[in-house]
Amino acid sequence: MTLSVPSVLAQASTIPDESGGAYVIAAYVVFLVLVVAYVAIMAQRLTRISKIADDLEARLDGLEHAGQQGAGVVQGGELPSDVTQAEPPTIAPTR
Amino acid sequence: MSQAPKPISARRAVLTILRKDLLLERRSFELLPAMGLLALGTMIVLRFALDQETVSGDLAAGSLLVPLLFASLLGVSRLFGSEERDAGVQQYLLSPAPAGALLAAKVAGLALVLAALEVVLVPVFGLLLLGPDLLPVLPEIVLVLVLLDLTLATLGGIVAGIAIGARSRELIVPILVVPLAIPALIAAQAALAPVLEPGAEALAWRWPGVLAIYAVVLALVGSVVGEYLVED
Amino acid sequence: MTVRGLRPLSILSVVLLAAGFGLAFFYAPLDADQGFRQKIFYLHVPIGIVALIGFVIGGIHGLRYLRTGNSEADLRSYVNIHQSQILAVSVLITGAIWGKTAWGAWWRWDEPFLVSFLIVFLLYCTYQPLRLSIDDPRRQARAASVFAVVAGAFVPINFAVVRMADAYLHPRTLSNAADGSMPGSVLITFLLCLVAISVLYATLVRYELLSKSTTFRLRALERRAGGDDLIPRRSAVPQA
Repeated sequence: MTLSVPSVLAQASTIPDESGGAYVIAAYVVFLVLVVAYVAIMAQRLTRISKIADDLEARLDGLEHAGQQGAGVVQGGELPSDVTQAEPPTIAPTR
Repeated sequence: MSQAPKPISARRAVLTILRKDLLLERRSFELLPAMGLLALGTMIVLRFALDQETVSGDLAAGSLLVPLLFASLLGVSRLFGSEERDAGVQQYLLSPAPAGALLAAKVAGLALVLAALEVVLVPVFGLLLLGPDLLPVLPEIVLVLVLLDLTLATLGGIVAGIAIGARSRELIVPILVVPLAIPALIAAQAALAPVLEPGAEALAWRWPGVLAIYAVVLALVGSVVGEYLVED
Repeated sequence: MTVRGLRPLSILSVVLLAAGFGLAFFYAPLDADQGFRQKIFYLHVPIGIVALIGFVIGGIHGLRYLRTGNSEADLRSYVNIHQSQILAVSVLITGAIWGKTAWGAWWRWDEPFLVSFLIVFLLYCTYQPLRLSIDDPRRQARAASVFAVVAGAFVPINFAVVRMADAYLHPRTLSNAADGSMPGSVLITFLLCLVAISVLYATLVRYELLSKSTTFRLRALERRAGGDDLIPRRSAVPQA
């Protein structure tokens, strides 16, 4: 990061009080910190969830594969595929 | 089925639904009195909240518009009441009438109900609260209120359409109508305030113009999205 | 789209933001009239512009959903509106800070940009409650899309009316600094900040879209595994 907080704060001490410099700098710093924190947390969470999803998918595939080779009882694969995807959305006017 | 049903023209459909709604309101006569009582009650509250025996100018415009806004909320909440009670929207869709006509009829009905309310409310306002004489400025007031009715009715129709399937409609409708109505109320307030001053000033034509433009834009948007609201 | 694929965009937005803010503090001249506090505009105004554009984009995607019935358009409409709501809060906060430094009051009613923003914010606050109050996912998506279209059209009208009313009620005696007399360095800084916030906005939208689609994928997998999610949950988020 090229913008270092201490250097900005150092500049802040030279700013006359009546122009409200501290508030302005606080706004920038808080905004930047929030954005960086948000993106970092989001990226971390997403990586974790996608890993769980990949893992789950692989295990389900394995289970179904084993089930098909074994007694022929398919677990899970015969479940209602998706409640919300059951019918394609048709919202065009009917007339 | 050997023959497709003959399509009904939009105008006929609008007029039929409008006549049905007005007849229902005339027979039950419950919405208009409720709107009137709420508006009158709000005026009385404003008299004490503002601590004024009589009002003029800005305060007068506000004391007329705020009760109207509150009353219109009642009307919007009930706009599709008769349809929703008996699965009327679904039944309407079975008919060969165009889908958008239902919304257009509701907008027209709401505008008429608001106008009927004002026929009573404006003289009452003139008697109870307004300082300056009402009669000399009546034409200006009527013009602004008619435009305001059209705007409120159009946005009320759209909001009521949005809220058709909503579980808590009585919560959703007011919080949607009020922000959407703010530009209309700003324009109506700015138009009426000088007119209601003691030495009534001339109407600044730009504000009725703003109201008209807002009404037209809402009507255009409503005509684009309206058919998607009446559907199931 | 993966997290890894979003990394360049994330880095780009942080670099642009840092550069923009750096210019704002160290390159742009101190305003003769307003002094240091004027620097809040390099944050406040770009966020405001991007938030408004985001609301309008949400409306465009809403219209697309109505036309095509593609639930992906509804999701995009939702995400754009959601991110713009967050930016709108930032606009109100930075505006309040500017008000505090300029007039010593956190809020003033004669600033049309802020007042219009408050009204727009008030309207968009109803978006999630509206979605939540409609159970049927398709009906919910349709009502939300109509709302997005109406509100998107409302945004510019509201701004015009509030500005007109302000100009009418409080005629300006001081000419606005933005009227053509903006020095080049100010303009460059402002434009860079605008670009930075736009790229940041695009990044955040992508992140949320990715987050939603990953959640949908996980939920579909849970269902496939015979989980307990066979009944759709009540939600304000589009159900893809």
